[in-house]
Amino acid sequence: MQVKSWLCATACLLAAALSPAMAADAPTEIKIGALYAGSGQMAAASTPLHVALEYWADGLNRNGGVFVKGFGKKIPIKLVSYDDQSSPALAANLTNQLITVDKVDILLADSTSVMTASAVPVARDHKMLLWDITGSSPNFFSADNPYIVLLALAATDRYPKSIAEFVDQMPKLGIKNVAILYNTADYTAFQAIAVRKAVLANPNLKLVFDRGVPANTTDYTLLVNNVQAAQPDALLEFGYPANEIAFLRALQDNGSKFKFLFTGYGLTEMSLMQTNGVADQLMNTYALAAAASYPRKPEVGLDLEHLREAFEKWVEDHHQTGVEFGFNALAGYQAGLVIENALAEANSLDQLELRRAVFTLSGKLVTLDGPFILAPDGSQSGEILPLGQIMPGKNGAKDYSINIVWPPELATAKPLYPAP
Amino acid sequence: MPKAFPREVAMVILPLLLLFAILPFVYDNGLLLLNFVVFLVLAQGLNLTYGFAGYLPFGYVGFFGAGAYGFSMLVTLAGAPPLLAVLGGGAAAVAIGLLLSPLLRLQGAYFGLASLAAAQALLQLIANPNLSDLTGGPYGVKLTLPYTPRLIYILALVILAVTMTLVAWLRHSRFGLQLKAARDNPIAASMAGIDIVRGRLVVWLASAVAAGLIGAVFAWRASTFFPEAVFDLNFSIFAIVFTLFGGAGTLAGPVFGVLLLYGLYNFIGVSAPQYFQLGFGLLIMLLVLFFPQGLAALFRRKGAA
Amino acid sequence: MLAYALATGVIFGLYFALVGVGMNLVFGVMRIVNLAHGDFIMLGAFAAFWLFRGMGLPAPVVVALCFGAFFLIGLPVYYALVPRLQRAAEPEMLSLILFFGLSQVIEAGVAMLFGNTERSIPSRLLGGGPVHLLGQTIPYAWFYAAGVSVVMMFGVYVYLYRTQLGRQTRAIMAQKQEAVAIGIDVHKISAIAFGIGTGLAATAGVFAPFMLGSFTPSIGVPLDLTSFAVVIIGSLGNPLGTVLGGMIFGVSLMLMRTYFSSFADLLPNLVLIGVLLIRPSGLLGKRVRHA
Repeated sequence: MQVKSWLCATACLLAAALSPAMAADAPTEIKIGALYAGSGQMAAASTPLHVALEYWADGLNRNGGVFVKGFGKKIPIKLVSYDDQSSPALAANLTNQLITVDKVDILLADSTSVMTASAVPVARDHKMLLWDITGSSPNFFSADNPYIVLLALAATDRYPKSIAEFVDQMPKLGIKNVAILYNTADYTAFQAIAVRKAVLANPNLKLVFDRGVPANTTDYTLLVNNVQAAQPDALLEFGYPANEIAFLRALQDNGSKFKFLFTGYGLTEMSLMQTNGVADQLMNTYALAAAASYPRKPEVGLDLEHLREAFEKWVEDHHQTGVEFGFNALAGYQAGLVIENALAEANSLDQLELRRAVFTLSGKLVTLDGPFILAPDGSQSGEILPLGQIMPGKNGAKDYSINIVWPPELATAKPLYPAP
Repeated sequence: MPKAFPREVAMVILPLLLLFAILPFVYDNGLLLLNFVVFLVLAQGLNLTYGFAGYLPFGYVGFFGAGAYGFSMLVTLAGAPPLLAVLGGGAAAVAIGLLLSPLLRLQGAYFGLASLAAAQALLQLIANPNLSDLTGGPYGVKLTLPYTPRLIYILALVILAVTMTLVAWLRHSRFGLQLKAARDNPIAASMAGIDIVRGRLVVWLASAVAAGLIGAVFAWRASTFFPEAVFDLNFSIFAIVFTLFGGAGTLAGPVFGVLLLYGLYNFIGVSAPQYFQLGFGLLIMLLVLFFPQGLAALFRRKGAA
Repeated sequence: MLAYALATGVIFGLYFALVGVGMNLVFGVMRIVNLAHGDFIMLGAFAAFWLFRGMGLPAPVVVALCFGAFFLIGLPVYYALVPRLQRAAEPEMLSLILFFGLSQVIEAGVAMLFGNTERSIPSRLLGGGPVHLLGQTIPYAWFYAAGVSVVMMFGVYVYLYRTQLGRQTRAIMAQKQEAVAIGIDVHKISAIAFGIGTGLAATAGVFAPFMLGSFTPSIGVPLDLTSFAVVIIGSLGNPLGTVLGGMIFGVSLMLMRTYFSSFADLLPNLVLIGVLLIRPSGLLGKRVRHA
């Protein structure tokens, strides 16, 4: 009976080989394409974000990869990255390269709206979902383009929600005259518009100073003096980090003080402000409590302290220089978390299916970046930052703390007005 | 017209066009190919001004941006069909060229920096928030046009063909010789009865049109962009370096410059980018110090010997 | 507000003069536009950053060290680049490209070594608090920088008009061929002028962190245009005209910031073009031959 069992065995093997696989055509790796700016103007923002992505991908790969529901198993991640040298034109070419030549499964944009802009039409044209990390310009999102989702911060028209709402609370503190000073670039101008609208709509407030300055303004002495001449009770200032440093320095050099001062990057880039010696000007002032400065309790993923630790260790182990932990590093990690959790819901790697999977996370995913909520056009409505007041500690600016003053459901203290 | 003109067209222009017509079927990154064509046009446009009139416009990107915004404004404000709007972009660039033509009175470095200042001024004007209703201001441009990459690519090739034919014609025509004479020795040339001012203006406007048309094509393909993206100084610098590298005043020189250097630029973006700025700066310096006539001069010398 | 704009314009303008005078000297003597000028300013800023913050040296020492060191650096740079350049067909135009290349090399090198983050220096390291003028305040650092600028300008004046080398320099600026004919060592004089130009740039750079708020490796190129505008307004080839150019530039900038702030960065470019078209020799200069 040896022949029979031999035939049997062969038949069984043949049958097994010919029957459809349990996991249909699972790829050997998930290719994630990313751009980063290794040099040029955007490098300071972009590099930490990219390093965080590498850290995230490496962490998953150590455990066998990322779990994809459609294949029922973990698949290793391959991160394909190109340096766009802060050039939007090169970024467009390289995005195209990732799609057409490298044929990535998941396409990430570079950080900042300026660099994301080049990728948006390219992704749409190739019907590829663009996982937009920090490119928050409302221009990128429209009802007729399903190929984009914003992951790590609220779209710019919603971003200043807390301060715009707080404007209505200002008369209660005794504030009557308001001044607005902003950088005319897209990101900061949108915020100024939101705040201006709120001030003009409130009959108890008067807008006494409203000025936009070019993005490359680095000297604020004249402007600070002009604002003071208008004698506002409150000054709301919106700028990029370079502007903020210059602005705070001008306050220092001119000995100026305001009863209520709001700055755009006061908390988001606190460590940069400290390195540049202007953090003491931020005491008792207000800023949006960025995720990297205000610990939230996540339901998924690491919390702020653990992420900071892990990130800084990774940077050390891999001998990277000049990479600071801040909002951008957090954003990179957030992107990773969203990808991870979306793939856990995705039935395949089809781009629109991936979009559906990302949308299932909306309203459910809560990470250290805050609640993840998507509007139908793919823009982020969650991750709204609360308004905080920066309070000096025993050593002044070195051990500052944050009092959340708005919205009421998150508030921890009442605002201290006027600033001492 | 000596036989050199048709021969040059056949040996340089046609093969180049053929190459770029075939490449999309072989290499998938169509956007990269389009950008190659954009730089080929920009280099030849710059070649017109520098090679024939001796002006080095550091602000050449101003025409490119003018074309891009001329196109965008016609599409968004007047609802013009894209092909017509591209012509509009070219017209916008010519208008800017006319506006800036007094700069042609300046010599040397004055001209170079004044044209740079003019391009910057145009950028700052367009990007001003007060003008956002017209130009989109700092918030950028967002065009909703149908997706037609093939048409756009063919249009770019047509623009390239026309620009290069113009350069080739100038190389062998009396007008071109007059221009070169005026460039080398203006006093003698004007004594010989050459209308220098008009000649320069014509070449200046021609190079403006080239940049404007290809800028419009770039805007069409990009469809979403911030003002800085189309007024990026790198467009000027690259065009200048590519042309210098290959050899200004020749037809094939700028082509080699673009293919070699722009190819290197993209390749490096893919592999070892941190050193790009450093390497590029060194290349520029070596070029000016040791090969100011570009590669083409090397070949010419070899041929003559 | 108007009086304040004028006052700050003049004071800041004196600093702009310091920023531009180095470029003016180099152009006047060699007919070369040094587009790496802004990057030498940036290097001066970095040097000041370490000398002030790292070593805590007092300001006059920092200024002297930076001027001296960069003067010495300028000499070999001259000899390496300029003589070859001047043998080319169009040295003036090509100088734009050559020095732009140099500026990219410097910028890339600094960025690779020190990174791109913003740096600044607290003003208290210069001493002195805000100065009250016309009901508003002006930072002490501005007066300090303006003062140093005046001193350096005076030094340039003394060099050009009271020294042998200076006379020879002026001779070259006026009539190069004749200067060669009477036996002036053009290369030596030019190298010294280039060194002085670089030294002046570095001195301006020492105060850049105070005047400009913060700095990164990429502040070089924008400073070039400002420099050139200041030089052109005052007059090319007349280093002292730069003082006037700087003040006019400073005042216009402050006025724009007060009344049309969002257009403030448009002004320098328009002024540059305007002056070149209407009066290319500048306010104090001699006529320049047109093409």
